[in-house]
Amino acid sequence: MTDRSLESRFLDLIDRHGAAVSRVSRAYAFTEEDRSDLVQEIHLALWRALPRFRGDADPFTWFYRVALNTAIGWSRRYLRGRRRRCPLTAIDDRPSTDLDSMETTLRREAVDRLYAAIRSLSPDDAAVILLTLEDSTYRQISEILGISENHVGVKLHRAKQELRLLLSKETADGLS
Amino acid sequence: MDFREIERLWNEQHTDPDAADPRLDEIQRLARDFQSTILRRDVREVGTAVLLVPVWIALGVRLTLPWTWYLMVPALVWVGGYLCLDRIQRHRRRPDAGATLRGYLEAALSEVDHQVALLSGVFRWALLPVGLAASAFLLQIGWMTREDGWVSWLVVACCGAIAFAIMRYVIVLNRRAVETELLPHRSELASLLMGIDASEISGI
Repeated sequence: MTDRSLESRFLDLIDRHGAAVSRVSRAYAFTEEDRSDLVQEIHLALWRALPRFRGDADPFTWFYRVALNTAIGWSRRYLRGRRRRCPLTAIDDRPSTDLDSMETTLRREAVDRLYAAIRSLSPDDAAVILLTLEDSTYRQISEILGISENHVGVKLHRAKQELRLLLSKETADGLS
Repeated sequence: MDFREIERLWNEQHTDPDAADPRLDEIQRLARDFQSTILRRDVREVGTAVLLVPVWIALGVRLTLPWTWYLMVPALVWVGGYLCLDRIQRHRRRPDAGATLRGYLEAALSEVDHQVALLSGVFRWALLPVGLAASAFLLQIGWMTREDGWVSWLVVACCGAIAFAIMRYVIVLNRRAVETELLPHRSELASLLMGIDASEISGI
């Protein structure tokens, strides 16, 4: 594959599935700076992996596998100590502005809380939750994460419970 | 919150309108800091030029110096005027309050580029007119005192050397300001702009 066709293929993939990179980075990185680093690292990993991608797998599955593996590795390397120190909502995403409507602000805060809760899960559980939220099937999740479909079910059940617990705790803390 | 609600929330984030980007605040803060640094510098330089004009005229009258002494007056007015005109032009090009992050970044980058060009070209617009005026005066003094022989030319040469050293020092100072302040600031802005490009590609 020539560099030019590789580049156009890369850009095409980013164009189609690039938003997933931002969601993955937001689910794993705590700060804007970290997020930006992670996005770059995922792009780099995708670029490096692209020559080996023959197209026999679903591009989305392949894309997500590379993105998640990079994010999980990154998370383990850099955030292990930090995760313990950071409270769930210590670092926020987008501050709301006066121009936002109340509804938009509330929705954005709820999304921020959701991401914060996902970041509090273990990297593997966060991956399962992310993939489920992206409407991936058990088969796709098992292919992406390299675990059996049964194991996906078990992990998903546990991760959902933990996520619900974190979110209700957050909501309660927010109200008190 | 049950998982269905979480899924609904997840899907809704895609319809979230583009909110104010927190990076915009940072860019605006950087731009404000930069503008105030430039303003302080311009006030200092224009103020010095404006103050020097009457001092220069008063000295010339008091010491009955030759006409070439007064060539420095238009040179100083030119330097002060150039900076003022430059500020007015830059002010017109500033982005309005509703500009986007990209707009701010591009404007900030072009502002930094302009400052780099301004400081790099300090010889042309500031030192050359001032230097020519000073040289004319020194040459005239040398010519007028030529009967004193080589001593007169030695004094003129020494004054010329001092003027040259000062000009060289100003050039070095400006070059250092470009290398240590403007270029790092430029690369910071350029990387932010690249970050926006990457974000736009990945849909952040």
